[in-house]
Amino acid sequence: MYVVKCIKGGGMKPTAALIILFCAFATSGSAQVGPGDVLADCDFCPELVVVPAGEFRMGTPLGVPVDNETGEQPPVHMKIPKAFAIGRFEVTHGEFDVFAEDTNFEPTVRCRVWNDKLQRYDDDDNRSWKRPGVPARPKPEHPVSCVSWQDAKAYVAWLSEKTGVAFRLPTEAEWEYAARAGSDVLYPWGNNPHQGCAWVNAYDLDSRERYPLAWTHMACRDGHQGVAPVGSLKPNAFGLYDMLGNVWEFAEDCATKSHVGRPKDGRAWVWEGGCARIIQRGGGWMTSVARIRPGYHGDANATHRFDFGGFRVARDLSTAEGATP
Amino acid sequence: MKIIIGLAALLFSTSAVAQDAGSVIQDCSDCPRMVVIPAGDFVMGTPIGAYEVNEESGEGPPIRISIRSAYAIGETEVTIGNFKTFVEATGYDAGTGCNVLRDGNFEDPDASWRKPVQPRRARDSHPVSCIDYAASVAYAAWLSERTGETYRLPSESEWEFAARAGTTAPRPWGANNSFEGVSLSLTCEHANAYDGEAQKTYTFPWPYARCNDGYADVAPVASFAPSAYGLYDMMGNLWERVQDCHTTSYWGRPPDERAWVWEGGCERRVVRGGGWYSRPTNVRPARRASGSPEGRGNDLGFRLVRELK
Repeated sequence: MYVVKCIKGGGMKPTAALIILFCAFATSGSAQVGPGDVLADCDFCPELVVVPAGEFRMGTPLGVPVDNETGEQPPVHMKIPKAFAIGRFEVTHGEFDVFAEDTNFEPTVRCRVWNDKLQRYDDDDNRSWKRPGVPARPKPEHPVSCVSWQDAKAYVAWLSEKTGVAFRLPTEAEWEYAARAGSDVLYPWGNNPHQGCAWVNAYDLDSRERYPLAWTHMACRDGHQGVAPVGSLKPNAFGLYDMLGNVWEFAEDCATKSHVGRPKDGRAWVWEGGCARIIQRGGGWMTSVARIRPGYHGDANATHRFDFGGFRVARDLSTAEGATP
Repeated sequence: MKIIIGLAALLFSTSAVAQDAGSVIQDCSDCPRMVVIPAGDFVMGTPIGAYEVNEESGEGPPIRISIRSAYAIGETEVTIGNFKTFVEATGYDAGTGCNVLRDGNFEDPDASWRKPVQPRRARDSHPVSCIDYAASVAYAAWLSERTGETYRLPSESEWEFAARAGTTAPRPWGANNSFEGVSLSLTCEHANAYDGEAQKTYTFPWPYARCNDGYADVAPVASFAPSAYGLYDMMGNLWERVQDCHTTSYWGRPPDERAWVWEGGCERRVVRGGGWYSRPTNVRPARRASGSPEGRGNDLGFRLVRELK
């Protein structure tokens, strides 16, 4: 295993060139890391940001009016016992492409995309992660979409094998903790959803011009009608980009509609024998403002693909990096 | 050869008859009697908002469950007599310390399954209480080893399917299906809950069934009328442990007879059926509550499932 401690940079894009530029002369091996540090485990690895240990209120207090059917109320007190590393960005096309080429990953067609004629989401047998439709021509900096939870699991398994570093998906608790970045209100910037356009690419005035839909838009402009290259908007207080909006992100957890009984130490909540439906977090580029919240959770079948669905990776810190054994 | 085949056929048909729904299996003379429950589908839970249900019970949203194969479940709660054979054979130490009703307190460090305080004189025919989850699992393991069969705690869906016995109303015993505020006299024929008799001895700040079931506290098993499946005390007498971990939604649960258990275990597991001092609202097939696996109470026991081959 080798770990490169990179220079903490602001607004850096995850292109290989930049990573090399920033990381080439950094120390490698047993470097202690701290919150906010940016890590890259290999030149094709997604960049990670170290998130501190801590505690937070997961979910939403009873009595706060939210889009129901989410199971986010009542909240639970959650502990994140150790610092961990989570993707600075959503996994990109460029990163996923390395995996796909190395493994001859089938560009399985069939992805659920917005159908303008039907005015609803529908499975499209001509769409795949290679050609998700939105964007018409994905660049390496776009988040990969039209990938299922199983695809995401295959990616992290491959990346772990390639690097000797145990990559995984974030747990739902880690995800919400990272998305809140210390905030405990409805949105990381406060309670007004319409002030989020600096951080979040969701269903806003721009998206509404292209897709005039019934659901609630953010009454502001994020500058993107569809999916945006990762890191196009401002990072949150932990230095993470696009936790909310752009593409929905899979967590490791099985899906139910209550937090009662879940592990209280940040572990994934998974059923013995597995589960059919998986937690999806953060909302996408066309998601109503009602769901673009750190406390909201959606869910998806483990094998389904969506043009609004991607993921980001996570991993534990090594003892060399300062993790308590 | 023909004789052997004939014998085999006879044996096969005998065992098939023995496993018809409603038939009773008893693997040894002091083993619990197990009633065969048919495979089938049912709706588990209670529609949210449909009745006066404590939402925290987590009885919703209702979920269609498919019990994919027949199984046998204890005709009664496991008795003190049953448990005694296990303790005597193995020397198992089920520990002391139990939640009982004494001088307005619940915790009694000296109470045990042999001395559960209620009932004052615990007989072999009383259901065993004041034991933790591990003890019920240990008993099932011992019984399995002894008989060569598979005994275990029920899953929550197996439990509710058996308790409903084909019924869909809030209570299986007929039309008297309101929650609180009306006569619940039928409760006293079918379940040992908090009733007029219990209320004379034990004062709780919750409603009691306005009838008299003849027992102030724990009753010997099978003192009340059986269900349509021939099971006793599914509701009332003691809460019963099941395997499932506890949360407050059925959403995402396996839609079949499997228990819903988290990887890495859980802090609380579901208990079912209500006990001898439960308010009538809690004495229903759909009612859920939870307990820590380490907790012991004299209103909490169990019955087992025996798998069919």
